[in-house]
Amino acid sequence: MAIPAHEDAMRPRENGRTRTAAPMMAGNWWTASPRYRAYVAYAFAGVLFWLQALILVRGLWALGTGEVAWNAYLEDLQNPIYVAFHVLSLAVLVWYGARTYFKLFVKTQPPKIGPLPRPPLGVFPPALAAAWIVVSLALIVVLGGIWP
Amino acid sequence: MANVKTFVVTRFDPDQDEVPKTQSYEVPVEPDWKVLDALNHIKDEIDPSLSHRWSCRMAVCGSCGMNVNGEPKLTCKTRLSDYGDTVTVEPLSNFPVVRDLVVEMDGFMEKFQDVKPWIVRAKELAVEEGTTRQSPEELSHFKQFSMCINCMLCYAACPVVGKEPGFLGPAAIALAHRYNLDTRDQGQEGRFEALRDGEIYNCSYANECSEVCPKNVDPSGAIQQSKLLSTIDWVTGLVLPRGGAKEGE
Repeated sequence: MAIPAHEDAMRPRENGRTRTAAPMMAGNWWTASPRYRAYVAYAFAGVLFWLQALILVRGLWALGTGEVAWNAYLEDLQNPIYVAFHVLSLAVLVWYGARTYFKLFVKTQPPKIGPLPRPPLGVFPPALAAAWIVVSLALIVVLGGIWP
Repeated sequence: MANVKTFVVTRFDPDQDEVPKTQSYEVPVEPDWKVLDALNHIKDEIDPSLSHRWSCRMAVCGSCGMNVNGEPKLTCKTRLSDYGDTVTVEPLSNFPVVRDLVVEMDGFMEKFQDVKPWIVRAKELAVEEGTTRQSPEELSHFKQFSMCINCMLCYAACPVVGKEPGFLGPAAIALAHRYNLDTRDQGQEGRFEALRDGEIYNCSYANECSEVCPKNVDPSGAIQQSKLLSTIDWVTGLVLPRGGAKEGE
């Protein structure tokens, strides 16, 4: 089932002599293929990150308000709903955010990096994934108080 | 041995129809037929009023792009054996329809012109100065993006093109990138401005343009690289304003 695209999509600046039918697009394009579904899921992840930002803003506000508000905020974060939300956000960030970013990063690489030729494109995703894991572990070790 | 398939084809007569409709045809197809062969059979043997574009039959001219079962395809390259008993053929999505399966191309050509798809020189070389040389390595940087055949499949696959009329779209941006990477060209500044005016940042990386491209051009890659270079150009323009007279002039 087709739905109307924007009425001016791909329309010339001046109408031609022949009347044309309006541009259409597939009504179910976002579910039409696994690729589109992944794209829509990635875009939807923005809603989760927006909610995350609201939680952080609330934390900032609590920090500025005083110790009581800050402690209440920390206590709220222990709530299973908050914990489940953060686990879901992490999973979405890892699966869609990082995965899409790593693929996108490969596409932005110029033919030469400075004076050096670009490494083979296949090298980038595993290298990025390895760097990401190392940085994440380092943060856990340092922020978790394990070291130093 | 011929096998009968049902083709559900979009029909639109601008003199009679308010909106497009569909018409079904029963076509005896041969095992090695492409979708275009079936459309030509309908035109030649069943219904001469059917209108569709085609030319080379070998995936070079880019004329025969249509939606086959909802996916943008070059019909001369799309085997019927990959489909079931019913095949839906529609005009490319996101384009106004002139007639039946023929879409309006003028908007597409205007977007191409906006990015100046030719080599721009600040000053043409005199004949006695010889040609502008280019090494095979320099050619390899942009050759991929010059393989576009203007089939418009990427425009039909892009959800942003359907919703944002000001967006230049994949093929035009890939062509702009092709000339921006060409060592003989000196027109990057104007093209970056055209890319920004053409709402390049509206691309949300669906990547479908590269998925459907029959020549493996990777317009999505060109768009992401152009976003980066265009941003650098804009920031550089802020820090080092252009167009002023140099000291001593």
